[in-house]
Amino acid sequence: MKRAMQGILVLFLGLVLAGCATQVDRVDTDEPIDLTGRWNDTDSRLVSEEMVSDLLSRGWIERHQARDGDRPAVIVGQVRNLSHEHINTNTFIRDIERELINSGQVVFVAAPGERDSIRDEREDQARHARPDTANPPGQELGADYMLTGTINTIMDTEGRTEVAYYQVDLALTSLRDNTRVWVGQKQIRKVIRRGLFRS
Amino acid sequence: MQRRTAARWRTLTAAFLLATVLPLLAGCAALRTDFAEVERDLARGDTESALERLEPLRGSRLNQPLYLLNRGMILRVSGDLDGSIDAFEQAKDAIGELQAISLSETVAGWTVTETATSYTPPVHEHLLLHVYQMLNFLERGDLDGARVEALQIDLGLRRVDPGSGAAPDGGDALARYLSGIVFEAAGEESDAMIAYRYAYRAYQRQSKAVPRDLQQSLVRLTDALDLHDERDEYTAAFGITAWTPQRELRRHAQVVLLIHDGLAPRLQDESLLVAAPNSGHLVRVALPSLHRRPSGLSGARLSANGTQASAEVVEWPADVMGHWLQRQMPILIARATSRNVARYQATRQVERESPLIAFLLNIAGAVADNADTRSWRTLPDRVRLARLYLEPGTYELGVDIPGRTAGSRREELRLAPGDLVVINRHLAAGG
Repeated sequence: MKRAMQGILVLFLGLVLAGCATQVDRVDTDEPIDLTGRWNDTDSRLVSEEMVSDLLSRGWIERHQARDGDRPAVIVGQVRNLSHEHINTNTFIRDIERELINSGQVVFVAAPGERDSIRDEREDQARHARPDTANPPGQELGADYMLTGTINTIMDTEGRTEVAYYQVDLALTSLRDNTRVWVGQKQIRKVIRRGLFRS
Repeated sequence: MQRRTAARWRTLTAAFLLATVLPLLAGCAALRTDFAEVERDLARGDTESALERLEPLRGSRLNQPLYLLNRGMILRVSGDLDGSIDAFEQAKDAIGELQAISLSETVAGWTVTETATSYTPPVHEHLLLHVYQMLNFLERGDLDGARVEALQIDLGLRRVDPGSGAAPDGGDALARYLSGIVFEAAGEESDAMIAYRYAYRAYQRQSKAVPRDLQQSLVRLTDALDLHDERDEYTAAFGITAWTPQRELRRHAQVVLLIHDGLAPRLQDESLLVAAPNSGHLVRVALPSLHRRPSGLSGARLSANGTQASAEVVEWPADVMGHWLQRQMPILIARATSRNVARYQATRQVERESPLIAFLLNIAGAVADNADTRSWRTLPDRVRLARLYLEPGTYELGVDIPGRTAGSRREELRLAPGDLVVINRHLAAGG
């Protein structure tokens, strides 16, 4: 009886003390960490890398260069989140932009939201900068192609197990004549098993 | 010697139990006090003070969802939509973590008090969390964000009841209805039709009047999707003989008014405390009861350049809560009985060694055994909705709430084709 009571008290105190400790670990950003099973930074990075790799390996760049003689200028348009969870599409768009720019095979044009602040800066330069250093208006590069897309999900649940199927569709459209020059698709399937007990 | 050691251990056990029970008791008292003050602040429109009063709950591990749900609601009433969205998303995470069972909390709920368990929102509160998050996104002009909430509502309801996709106590009618409005605005008419159909079934299941606007939406969309048999059933059931074709409304904008009227019922502790005739042992049965707080609003009207629509009641959180409590009662009674048995056994054990500690334990245990009166109290008593389809252009928009000056307003509004403008008025009791 005495030993049992001692054991219970020690266990209780141990659990209480363990719950009080906060621990922070620094981990590599490339290391995949899935806490909830939802779309995360690893998914965003992997999908953008694979899709941009596919985009750049197709023949549309060569065809554009043969026709116009220079690298195609690309702009990223809207990537709509049609999934069942709130996904910050801005980080996904940034990942795509990074991959495209770093490839060196295309020229990249700033998105509409950013252009406004750049134009404000140019106007400011016209008023305040030395004339030989100010960038004049009307010299912007018009994009040849716009990249748009959607993120969709299909969810299936049985008891404490959930299967999340993500499908990312991207399309590159010519701004000259609205023709699609590339369509890509990437799927991710995640199985989430939720625990029965918590502390 | 051995008996003396055993007695010491029993005394230590009793002291240990007292030490765990009394803080719980103190915590429950603080919870009640805070919420009465929060509601008074809300009725006065002082959201800043209401948020401050809520802060002591922030650190309460057992009440995280309760804190976040109320915080999200107060922030949205104050106009801080980003803050509200953030709080509601955190609430979803906190609720998700509670899906797993805590053995220690389960044991405490059956032996000590109901309030020793984490607050886990019932299905209807979970649904209304998505509804208010959807409204946050709509007010912010983020239709895709609102659409995510509509999908989460469907997913959640299919988890609750894979067959019918219905909520056990209600609360799904407005969730489905608003989902339909969002899908319709996004141009996804078949999804809108499915959501409207679910909403219609929810109203029928709860024996509530189907809002006129929903009736017209069902007729219009079944007609547009060539579901002629179903359309004819609706026209016969609703007595609708003429309607504007969906193809014409696609070029229109929608303005939706929602009136969040009153505050959801308060749960009160209804306790029965008696001393057993022979042993003097205190027996306490603590159960919650509903205390409704309607605002007495008779109606509201949305108008735009002469066109007007009356706001109809589309959701009854107070009634839903009543159903929920009724369904919970058998398990609440079983737990109350179990706690009395556990207290009696513990007191009897200690009584042989120390009658004084047994007496204190008996009193502390009985006093600490409170009914769980926690609920999302900043929800409304009922919700009204009015919708207008308007051609693109500039309008003088009017919201008229008879007998209230606080919510009534006129403002100029420029509408483009496909716009979905959502206007919300929160009228806390007395506000």
